[in-house]
Amino acid sequence: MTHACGDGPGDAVLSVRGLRKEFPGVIALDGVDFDVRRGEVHALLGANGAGKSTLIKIVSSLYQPDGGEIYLEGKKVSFASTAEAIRAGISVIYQDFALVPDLSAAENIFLGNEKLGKFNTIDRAAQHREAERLLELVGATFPPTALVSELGTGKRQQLEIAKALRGQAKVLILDEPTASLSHAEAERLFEVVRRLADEGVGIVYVSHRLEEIAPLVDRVTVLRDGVSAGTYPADAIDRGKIVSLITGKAGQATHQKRQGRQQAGDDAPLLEVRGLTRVGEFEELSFCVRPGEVVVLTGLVGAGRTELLETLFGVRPAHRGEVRIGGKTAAISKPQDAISSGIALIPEDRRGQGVSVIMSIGENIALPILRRFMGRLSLNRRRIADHADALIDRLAIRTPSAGTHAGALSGGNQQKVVLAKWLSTDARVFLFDEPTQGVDVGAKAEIYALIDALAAEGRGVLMVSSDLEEVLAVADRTLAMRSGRIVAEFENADLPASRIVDAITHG
Amino acid sequence: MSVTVSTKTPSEAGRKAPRTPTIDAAVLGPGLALLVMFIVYSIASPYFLTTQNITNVLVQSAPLLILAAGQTFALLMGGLDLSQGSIISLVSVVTATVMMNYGIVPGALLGIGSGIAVGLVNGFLVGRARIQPFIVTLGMLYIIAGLALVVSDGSTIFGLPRPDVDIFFWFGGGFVGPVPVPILIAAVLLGLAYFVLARTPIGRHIYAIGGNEQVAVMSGIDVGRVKIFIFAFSGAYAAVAGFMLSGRVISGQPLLGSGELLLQSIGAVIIGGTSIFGGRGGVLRTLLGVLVIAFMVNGLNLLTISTFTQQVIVGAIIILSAWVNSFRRRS
Repeated sequence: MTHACGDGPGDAVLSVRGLRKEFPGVIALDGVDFDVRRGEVHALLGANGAGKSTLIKIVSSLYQPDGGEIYLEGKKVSFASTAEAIRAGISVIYQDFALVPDLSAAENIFLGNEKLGKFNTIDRAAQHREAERLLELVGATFPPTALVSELGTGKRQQLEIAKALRGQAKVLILDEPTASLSHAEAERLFEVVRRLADEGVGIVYVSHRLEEIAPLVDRVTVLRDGVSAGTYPADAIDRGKIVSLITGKAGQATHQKRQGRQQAGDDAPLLEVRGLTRVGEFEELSFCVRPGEVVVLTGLVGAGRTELLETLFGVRPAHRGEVRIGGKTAAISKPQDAISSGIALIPEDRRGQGVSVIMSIGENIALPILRRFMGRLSLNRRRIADHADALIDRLAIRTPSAGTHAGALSGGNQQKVVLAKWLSTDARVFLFDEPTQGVDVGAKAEIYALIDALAAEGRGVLMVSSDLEEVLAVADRTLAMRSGRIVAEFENADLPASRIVDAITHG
Repeated sequence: MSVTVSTKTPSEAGRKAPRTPTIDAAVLGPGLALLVMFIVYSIASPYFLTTQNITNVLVQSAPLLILAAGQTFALLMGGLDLSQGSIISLVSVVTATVMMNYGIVPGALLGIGSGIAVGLVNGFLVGRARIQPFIVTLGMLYIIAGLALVVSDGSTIFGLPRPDVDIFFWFGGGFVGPVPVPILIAAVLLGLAYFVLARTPIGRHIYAIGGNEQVAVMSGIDVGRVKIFIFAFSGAYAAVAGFMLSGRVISGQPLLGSGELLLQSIGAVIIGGTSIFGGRGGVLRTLLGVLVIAFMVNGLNLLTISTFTQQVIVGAIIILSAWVNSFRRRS
C-alpha cells in the first residue's frame, strides 16, 4: 500500500479517483471521481445504466476495476474479496436482503463471523449481548432471538444495517433502501441514517425517489453514462436541476425513428387490456396497443411492469380484468394460451427464462414450434437447421453455427436468439421486458431496428424499459407506471425526458 | 431507418458447411475405460474374449440396459426414478399370478400394464401435483414393494402352467436363430428410446425441461404432460425388464427387483455421462455405462476377485466418471 494521495480531500473517508470498468461492448464507468466525507449522507443518483451499481460493486470489491484508485481514509486500498472490504469497514446493503430466514437476528448478524468461546463453540451469550447493542443502535424494537422469517421488510432492513455495523463500518452504502418500505418504516430508516452519520459513518445513499433527498442528504452526486455529472451541496440544487443532470443529452433521441406511423391511431386495437388487476402487484390497468405501434411502459423497479407482462403471457394469473386480442376476449391462464392467442414474450431474465444456455441455438429457436418440423415419422433435423440458419442470417446473430450452445453467445446475440424463437411463431403482439439490458451498443441498435421492423409489419409491441434514451428512441406512446398503476400517458415521444422522470419518481 | 440489419457474420461460409457428425467428448471417458478393460482382461484371462463369454455378458446385462434406458429419461429432465426395482417385483408377481389362471397373454398384458400404471401415477404426482421426483419415487419404491408382497402373499409363485411357461421362458432365455431374445428386445427398446429422445418433439422437450425448466414453460411446452410421459416411459421399460427377468426364472418373485438393480441402473446412466442435473446426455451414453459395469464385473469374476471387492470397484467408477465429467465441463 502506498502513502496518501495528494488530491483527495482531507476529511474524505472514501475517495474514488478515475475509476474505470469495461464490460464486453460497454464502458460502465469511464473515469469516475467520487468522495464520501466522514459523517455525511451522500446521495448517488443516475438513470438506469448510468453506472451506480457498478460503482458500488467495485467499491465493495464484488468487481475489480479496470483502472483508477480507491482510497480509504487516505490510504490506497485494493481488496481481494468482499469479506476483506467489510473487514476494512466498507459495508453495502443491497435491495434484496441477504438474510437467512430460519436463523435468529443475532445468528444472522454474526453469520460467517461467529463469536467463539471455549473449544471453538459459539458463544451465544456474547453474540446476544452484542446483537442487542447493535439492534438498539439502529432503533430496532425486536429481540436478538427473533427469527428473520417473522420480521417484516422494515425490520429486516434494520437487521441488515445492524449486521453491516457489526465490524465498525466506516462507510455504509445503501442501495435503494426505501424501495420496499412503507412510509413509516422509511421515516424510521432516515432517523437511523442521520444518527449513524452523526456518529461519523460516511453514508452513500442510492435512491430514485428525489423527494427523499432534500431533508436527508448533505451532498448529491449524479452519474450519467459512466461519468460523474458533478457533485453539489444538497441545499444548492433543486429537483429540476437534478432531473436535467440525470437525463442530460437524453433529451434528444439518438435513434432515428421510422416515419408515418402516426395514422396508426385509427386502427382497431390489437391488444386491449381493461381493468387488469393482480392484488399487490398492479391495479386496474387499462390500455391498448394498436397494429404497428410501439408502446413503452416505463417506471422504476418494483412498479409492477414485469408482473404485468408475465400476467399477459399467462405465467401468473390475473385476479380481475379482461384481455382482448384482435377484438376477441382471450382467456389466458398459461403460456400455451398466450402463444396460441398470438402473444410472444421476450423476458427480462434472459438466461433464466429466455434461452436455454446448454441447448444449441437451433434447438432454442425451434422450441415453441417443434411440431411443425415433424416429418412422416420423426423430426426433420435438416429443416430445423435450415430454419435456424435463415433466422441467424435475418437477425445477424454472430455465431459460428446453429449448433453452437446459446450460452457461448454475447448478451445481445442471446437476445436475438430469443427474438428469433418468437419470430417464427405467428405472434402478433410482442412483449419485450428490458430487451437491451446487458446488451452492447451495437446490438442495441440492431434490436431497436428489429422492433421497428416488427411494428412496420403491423404487429403490436409493448415494451418495458427503464432506460430513458431507449424510451425516447423507440416509443410511439409511453405509459408511466408507479406502484402498480399507470400514472401518466405521453402521446408520441417528442417530449422532454424530464417529464417522464418527474412522473415516475414522484410520491 | 438509420440502422441496417444486413450485417453478415464473418464465418458465414463456415456455417453453411455440411454438418459432419462429431464425436461427443462425453463418451471418451467411458469408451476409453471399456477399451482398457477389454485389453487388460483379454491378456489376463483366456476366457474373456470368447463369443460364449461376450454373449453371456450381453444376455445378463439386457435387463439392466432396458432399465437404465428408462432411467435416462428421468435423469435427463433432472429427476430420477427410484421405483424401478419395485416395479420389477410387482410385474413379476402380477404376471405369474394372472398367468396361473388365465395364461400368458393376459399375464403379460396385466403384468406389464401394472408397471406402466405405476409409472403413470409417478408421472401425475410429479407433473400435476408437482412433488419432487425423488420423494414421489422413494415413496412409490416402498408402496410397490409392499404391494408385490401383498399380491404374492410374500412367497415365490412356482409351477406355472405349460405350455405358457415355455413362452414365458423364451422372453428371458430363448433364441431367434443364433441371437438371444433378451439381447434382441434390449436392442429394439434402446433404439426406440434413442429415436424418441433424438427425433420426436416430446424427446426434445425432455432436454429443454432438463436444461432450463423455466425456459420450457415460457416456450409454451406443457411441462406437466412431458413429465407424465417420462415416468410412464421409465415405468414401462422397468416393466419389460421385470417381465424378462421373471421369464428367465420362470416364476413370480416378490423380491426380484429389491436387489442392486435399481442402483446399478442409476449408476450406469451416470457412468455413461448423462448429467444428474438434466439436459445433457442420452441413451447411447447409457449403453456405454451399462457395458462398463457389465464387463467390469464379468472380468473381475474371471479373475476370481470376490464380489465384495467388486462392489468397491463399481462404486469407485461411478464417482470417478462424475469427476471426469465435471472436469470436462469446467474446461
